[in-house]
Amino acid sequence: MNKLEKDFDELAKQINSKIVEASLILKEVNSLKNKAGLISLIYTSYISEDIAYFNKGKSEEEISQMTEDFYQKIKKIKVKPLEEAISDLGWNTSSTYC
Amino acid sequence: MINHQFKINDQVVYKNSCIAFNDIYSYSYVYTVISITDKFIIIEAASQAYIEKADPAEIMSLADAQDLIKKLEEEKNALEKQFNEYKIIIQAKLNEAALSLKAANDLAKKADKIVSKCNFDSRDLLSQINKLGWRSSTIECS
Repeated sequence: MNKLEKDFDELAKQINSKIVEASLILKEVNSLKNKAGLISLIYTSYISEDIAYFNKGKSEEEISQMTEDFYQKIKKIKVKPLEEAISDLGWNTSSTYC
Repeated sequence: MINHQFKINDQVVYKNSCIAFNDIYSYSYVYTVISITDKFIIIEAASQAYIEKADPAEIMSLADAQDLIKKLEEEKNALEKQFNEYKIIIQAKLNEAALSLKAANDLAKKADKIVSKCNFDSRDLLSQINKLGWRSSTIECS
């Protein structure tokens, strides 16, 4: 293994360590998100359908109110820094909202 | 103070306005709107006749209605307080995760690499991102 490969292996270890660190933090966030009664941290075009799916038996009006409540809660959480970091790593998040 | 809007037959009901209901015998009674919440309106009956004929389960005294509203508002406030506590921790953790990912990106840049295109340990990361609401299948296709 030449020096370049060794250097890259060392760098890859550090990169993986940071990725794993972020994964573990996001795992905690997922747990908190569930405790807070949120099905997602973002408001997408299909969120109303998701809320209806998890609340079978509720009327259209109730689902509409729950969707509005969800929106009011979700807009208090700023996800842009995370989205930008994900985007910088090469993954596209903008199309998720469609 | 939140100004709730309440509609009956698509007509917006305003505080202090009067509304009329027909009972099961088609007698019409006029009520004054005293208070409007996000759940219901409180009306003051001009006549007791309607109340006597109505289903007691649907009618409650003004005092009971106000107690119920107070209780509902207290429950709502408690839930909001609890959510705000979760929100603060979630926000801090999200920022922490973003910093870790930024560090990963800075390291990858040193090697002229793009993390998503390389074989790094990102499977669990994408799984967590997916659970947070972003659809990783969409993300991974990019």
